[in-house]
Amino acid sequence: MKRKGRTIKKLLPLYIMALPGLLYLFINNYLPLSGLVVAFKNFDYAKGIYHSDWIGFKNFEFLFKNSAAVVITRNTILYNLAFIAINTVTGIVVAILLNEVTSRKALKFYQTVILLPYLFSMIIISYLVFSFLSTDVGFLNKSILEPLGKAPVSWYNEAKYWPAILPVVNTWKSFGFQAIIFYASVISIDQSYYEAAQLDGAGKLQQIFYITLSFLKPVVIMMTLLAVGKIFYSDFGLFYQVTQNSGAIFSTTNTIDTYVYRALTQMGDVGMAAAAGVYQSAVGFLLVLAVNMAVRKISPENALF
Amino acid sequence: MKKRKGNMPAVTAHVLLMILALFCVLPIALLMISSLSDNDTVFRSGYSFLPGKWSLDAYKYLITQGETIFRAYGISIFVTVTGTAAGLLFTALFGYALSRRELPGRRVMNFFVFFTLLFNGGMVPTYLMYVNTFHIKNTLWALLIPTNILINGFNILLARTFFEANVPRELIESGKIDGAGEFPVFFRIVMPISKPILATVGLLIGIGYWNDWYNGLLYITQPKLFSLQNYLNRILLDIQFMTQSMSGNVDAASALAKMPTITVRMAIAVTGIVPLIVIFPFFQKYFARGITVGAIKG
Amino acid sequence: MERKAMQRLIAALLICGLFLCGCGRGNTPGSSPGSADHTKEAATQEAAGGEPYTITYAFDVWVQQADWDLVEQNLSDIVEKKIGARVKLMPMTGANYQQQINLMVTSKEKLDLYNASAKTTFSTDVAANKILGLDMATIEKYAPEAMAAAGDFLKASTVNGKVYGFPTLRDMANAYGIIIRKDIAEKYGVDTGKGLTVEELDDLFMRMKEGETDRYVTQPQAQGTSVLDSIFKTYDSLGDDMGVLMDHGQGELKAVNLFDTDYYEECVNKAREWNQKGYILPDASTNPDTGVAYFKTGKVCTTMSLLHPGVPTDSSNMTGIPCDAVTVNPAFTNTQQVGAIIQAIPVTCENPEKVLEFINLLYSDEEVYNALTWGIEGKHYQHVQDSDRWITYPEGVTADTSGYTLSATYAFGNRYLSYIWNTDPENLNERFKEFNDTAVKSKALGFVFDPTSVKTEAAAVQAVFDEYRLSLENGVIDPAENLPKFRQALKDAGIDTVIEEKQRQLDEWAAAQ
Repeated sequence: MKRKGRTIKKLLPLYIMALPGLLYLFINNYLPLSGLVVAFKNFDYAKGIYHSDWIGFKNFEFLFKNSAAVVITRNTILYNLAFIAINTVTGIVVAILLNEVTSRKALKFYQTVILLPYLFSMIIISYLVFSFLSTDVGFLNKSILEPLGKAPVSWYNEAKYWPAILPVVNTWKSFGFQAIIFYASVISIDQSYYEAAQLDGAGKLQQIFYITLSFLKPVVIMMTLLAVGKIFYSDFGLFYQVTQNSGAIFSTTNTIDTYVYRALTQMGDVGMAAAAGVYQSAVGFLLVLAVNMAVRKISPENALF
Repeated sequence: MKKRKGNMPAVTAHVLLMILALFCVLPIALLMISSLSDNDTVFRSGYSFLPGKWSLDAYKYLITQGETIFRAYGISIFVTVTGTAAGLLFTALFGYALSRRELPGRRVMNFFVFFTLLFNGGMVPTYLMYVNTFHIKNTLWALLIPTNILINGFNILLARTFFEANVPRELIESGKIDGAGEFPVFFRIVMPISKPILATVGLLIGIGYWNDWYNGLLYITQPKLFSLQNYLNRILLDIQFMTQSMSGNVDAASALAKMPTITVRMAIAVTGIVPLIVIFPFFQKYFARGITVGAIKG
Repeated sequence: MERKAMQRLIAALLICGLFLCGCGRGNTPGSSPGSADHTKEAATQEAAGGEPYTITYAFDVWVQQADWDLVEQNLSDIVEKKIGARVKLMPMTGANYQQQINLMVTSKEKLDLYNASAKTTFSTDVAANKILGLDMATIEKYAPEAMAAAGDFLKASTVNGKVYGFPTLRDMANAYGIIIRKDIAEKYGVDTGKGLTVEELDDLFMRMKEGETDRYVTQPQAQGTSVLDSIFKTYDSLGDDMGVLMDHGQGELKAVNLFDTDYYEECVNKAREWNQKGYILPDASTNPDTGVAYFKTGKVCTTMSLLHPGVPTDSSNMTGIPCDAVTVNPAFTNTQQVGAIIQAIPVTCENPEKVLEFINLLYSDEEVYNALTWGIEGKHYQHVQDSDRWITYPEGVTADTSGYTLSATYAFGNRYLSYIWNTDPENLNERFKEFNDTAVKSKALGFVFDPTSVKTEAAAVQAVFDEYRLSLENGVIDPAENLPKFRQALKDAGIDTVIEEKQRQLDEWAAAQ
């Protein structure tokens, strides 16, 4: 007991370090949580969130009692899995490639350029994509297909192209960001490991495999775990604005978020919107708990919590 | 370090990175060129890297929207600088504390942080708290505090993971043996070897602040306090709003007749990111490899 | 140890949530803030010579006006003289308007009046108690002239005998047809005064397709609109298109499934035919520039559009190209069109009586109406010589230099009070009056459907609409293949349940009339 008291006292500065962050998260994220009850209520402006009438799970019904439920769940999960895989692989590869560049100027150039797309908002990206795909004035139809003598393609009406277009757009926007995060870890690896490996006669690929990747493992696991938590969510801008809300391609572009938005635009029901959020978070939460438990069993030091 | 043994890896890296760089840059080039094109020409001959006719109309239109745009730049710069400095400090401190395995309650705190990434009270309760309890509506605080830009669970966990993997325990111990407290150890020993992660997190927070329009949308109704993104966003939305219908009951809105719709959209995008490109090199110098742990120890 | 701590944390979170619920309870007074005592108190206080009450008024318009502050000041001075209140204007952009209003009402921020719309969430707003319902006696006392001016149109905002706001008087009906370039109309000998039948329009489109090789023949009015709702619409949507009254709502009050009708099938087949023949701008449904932006560049000959007397001038002004309008489908109105803009008082308003007096001014006082719509005389507009109606820019002011070019005659009170910009005919208001008075009115005008009890089905049906309607109604996809699918999807989503509930409410409403 006494020893424990001493440890805590010794570690007090660490708690003080954590305090501002804890406090902020408590206020910003935890205090409003009680508002989630609105998902189970028939919201009434005069009564307010906490005094509106309870209606059980009625607000959740629209998420399941519809013919699109299977498609939107499938699309959401598949796109997320694809995004996680593509982003992780490209991120790691680019981080390693950057690490091979020795010229400072070249390095600066690459770093700047791959991060540029990350700076654009989805609404701007939707216009940018449109400038490529517009049937009438788009770059692809007008400057590539037309000179080749090919018929213009009505991109926004052909569902089959979108499982390719969306990952390309998503990768374009976010791979640089992913790469920079991994790169920060790669360049912090103590150079003496590589030197030792070279003395042992390890080739480049072996060095990458045994040293670089093993140092990247914790951050890759963490980012993947967090992405798994968001697996029932989708980037609304990507799936709604970039597709120009085109009904003809819903079979490959409709996700839970866009479905909820469309279903509720006319009614603007606060309770149903909250219900959708609770559903998406809860599923993600359970998944992460499960995956984290598995990680804990295999390599405890990499578990999220 | 790795100069000998031929240049194969470096050459391969250059080729691949060059391809990726083009992949990133070409669309942006099209966007910039479009913003400098003549609106009618774009409609006639399509989006192109070689527009038939150049024009500054789009930028002229943005400038004539009044002095508000310069004020908006000022507000965005202030918020980004202040927010990034504070956010980076708190995030790094929290992440570092969590990275210390001997800290009791660490797992609970990790969970506490992670939980915020998945669940939040939703827009309405959060708004109620900030407006009714903290009274931040139409103040600069509203651009700084809500929606987790300042301190974000993701950044904390990222920093934590980095500190865990890349700051050797012996280094911390040796610092403490020399008699330094936790804070001096953090600031004098840990921070200098963690520049890459600090730069990364700083960059993430900075971009977050610069590109944020959500806070302004919810909490700012006075145009005087609009950040640049809110201002640009409003023009964008106004264009959409006004072009919804040709029977729009606007007896004298000839401003719209003159507005180059397509190119203004592109100009708005350019206006928003140019400052980021300008300050980017500042962060880059911290992405430097080189200080090896051995060097410090020795 | 850690596990226990985790359990404790979760328990603590739960307690924290409960605690907050408790707090919430303490904060909220039992009665709604709009209740009578409260407001009476405020009114007497002010009569005793306190500060004048400030009416905060939110609305969604084209907000880029440099001189909002000046206009607000000027308007307040005028209003203060007349009813002893000042006005705070809160213009907002369309996209976040609805959300901002919801938040302001939920958090009980100061808001006294806002523009709601029966085309969006008016019916659910009423059901969720967002809007204050006023009884007839109160209105008669504080806003008699507004009541008289609105007349029968007030039905559109009346639910169960309570009035939930005032529809602004503007184009209270829609005709349907095309907006056509003047030069093209002349070239093809279109008599714009006479109107066209669908067959004549078909023929015109064909001739234009042959003659105008470098232009598209036509386009819907904007991204997200269709040939059907721009030109063929002859049914009363009864709010949400789920269960409608056919034939301009002139038959019996029976809600039918629009999408099962022959009428709908004919419409989508015609749209398909036009699309296949290349009349319609490709990708019109998904192109963000459909409408004004395209027309402006001269790339299209006509736009299919809702029409009203102001349209030729409005579209000429907006596009810089001289335009005319040709009617295909005569003027018709229903609850949603009348209630397209309703000036509503939120439940959180502290002095509804004063706000009613202000509304009364917007419907009866030329000075107040025009100070809001056109700005300050001599600075933003001046009268054309020898005319008390016509106005134009003051000397030395142009569209580029004027600080107030709002001209949103539709957004406030009573447009019959409005001055007329001198690009419009001087008798525009009379034309509007005639247009509104002669329009065919649906028998269900005044019926407001509340979908709350079938919201699961209504949401699912809405999502099905989004998937099929635009593409079908713009002829992008083949009806032979997709219409049956669409019909089945609607059934699966539960459209029949919604229609049933609507019929029940409709019968109830009819019985109460």
